Amino acid sequence: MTPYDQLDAGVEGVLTDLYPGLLRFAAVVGNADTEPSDLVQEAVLRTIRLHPALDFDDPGAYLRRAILNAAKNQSRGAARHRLLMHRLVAEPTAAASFPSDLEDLLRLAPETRALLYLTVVDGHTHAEAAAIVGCTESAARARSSRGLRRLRAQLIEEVRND
Amino acid sequence: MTETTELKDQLERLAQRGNNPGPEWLVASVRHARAQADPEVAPLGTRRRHALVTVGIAFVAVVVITVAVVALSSRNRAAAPPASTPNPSTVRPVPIKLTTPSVSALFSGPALMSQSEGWVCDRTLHHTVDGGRTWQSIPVSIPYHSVQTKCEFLAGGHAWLGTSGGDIHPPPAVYRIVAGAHPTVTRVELPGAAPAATLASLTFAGDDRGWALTTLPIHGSNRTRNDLYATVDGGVRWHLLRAGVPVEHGLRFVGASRGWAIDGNVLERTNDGGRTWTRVRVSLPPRGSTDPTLFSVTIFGDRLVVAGGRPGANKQPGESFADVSSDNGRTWSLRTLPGYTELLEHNPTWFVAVDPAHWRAFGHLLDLQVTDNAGLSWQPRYSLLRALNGGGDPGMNFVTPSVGWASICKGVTACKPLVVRTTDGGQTWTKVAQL
Repeated sequence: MTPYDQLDAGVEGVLTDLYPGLLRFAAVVGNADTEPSDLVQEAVLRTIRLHPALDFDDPGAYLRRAILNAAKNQSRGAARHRLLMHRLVAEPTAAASFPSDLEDLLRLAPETRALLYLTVVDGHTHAEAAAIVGCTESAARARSSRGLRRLRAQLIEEVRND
Repeated sequence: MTETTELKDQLERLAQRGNNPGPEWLVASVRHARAQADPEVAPLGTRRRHALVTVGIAFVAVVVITVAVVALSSRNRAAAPPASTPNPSTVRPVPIKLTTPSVSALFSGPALMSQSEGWVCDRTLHHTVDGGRTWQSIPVSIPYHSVQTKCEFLAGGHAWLGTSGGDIHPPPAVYRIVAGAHPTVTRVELPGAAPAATLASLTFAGDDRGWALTTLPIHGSNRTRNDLYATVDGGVRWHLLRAGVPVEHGLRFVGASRGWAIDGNVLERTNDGGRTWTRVRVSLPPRGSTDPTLFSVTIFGDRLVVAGGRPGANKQPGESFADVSSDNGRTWSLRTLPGYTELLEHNPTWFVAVDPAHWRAFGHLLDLQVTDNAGLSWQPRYSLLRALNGGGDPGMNFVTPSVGWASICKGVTACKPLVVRTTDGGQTWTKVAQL
């Protein structure tokens, strides 16, 4: 076994261990019409290209951030696409449908979903979540609280409409 | 409360959306990306197709093998009595996965000379003389294909680091390192040693006298040829003391003549500096399906502590034991050790005899276990892995029953030793340094 084989085995082991968590994270931060596995693949391949040995103190945190960046890029692209479709056709077709409560969540920005997921589901502190998302702790708190306010407002509006 | 629960439920459902293939797909995709000369050339779709084809082939192979195994086992089951279901309470936890092999081969835990002086051994040596507050890093230029196999330290800033190579690589060598304001590193090859030989043991008794043991597999047999080298000038020059000694590893010397070493499951004793060896049998656990092996010898005058273990059979983890003698090896008493044999064999520093009565060892899940009565009873202490914040392959060393250090390689491929220290026998640990 060469040192490179050992290196590859190490990296593959790390990826296999991290994979379920990354997939869940990608499902939360990705657009409705994006396969979470595609986001994970894109983030991992970009990371491996720049850092073949995944030489980080916390590869999971780095990859989550890469997934978030990929999701944000796709969000921007999707917004441009929607605008274009709106100009070209009268009724743009929806790519995917979700129960209405998840639609509300999906209307939030990817970073906000990431922060809510990391703090509410994964049990990270705001400081840890902020480090993964790439913002300050106070910004993470403000963004989470804005996201929750928006969800509440959407819920109230839905109740009124019903 | 309800709002948080509802939000958590929604996020959980969102996290489970999508078509979720297994991790094999991602690993295959990474392998394929690495195999490309220029990853930018291949579009994502091509890489993914290749990855899916690889996973498909693997899946078909697994199905075929599974069908064959099921067919065979059902044929055997017709004749055999039904197997009893194991009682869950008797099933032991699976040993932890030892990660980062590329790192652990290069890294050994901290060595303490006193409460103030200590070393951490990697491709770079780290030395402190103020209890870990400041560290001097001494880089050692080890040839790429060499593997660092042994580190040996003495108080006063003296260190030796042994390396081995492969068939076409440099022969076993010993680096002589002297710390200080102007640290020196000198590499000396063992004269006449075969390039394929492995440096199995390296030990010093004082600044001048040292011994190095090389082992070389004998073609066509499962035996090895073991040669013993010696130095009388602190490793400046080495000479072949005796070829074909009956010891395999675990050299320890007290003074210029009296020493101990290990050959399988017996001890060997010398009283003439390693020229002749006498076989000493220790107490071994009752005979089982596998043979016990000895891993390390610790000497306290006439008192000896030997750590060993018997490998597990039928995929069961093995059991570790210790032998103690208070009459220079004439009589032995058997004690139990926590931790699987496989763990101790992987890293013998996971058992530390601080003195004849106070021992420290990593348990089954790398929790620290301590005994103050020479292994008659053990008590768990704070989980060292938690103190080290995860990672793989920690090492530890105690200079007194209370004061000890532990270190771990952080990072996936590059070793960044994190050192923690306890002053209360392992109850609490504090970070000393990230080297």
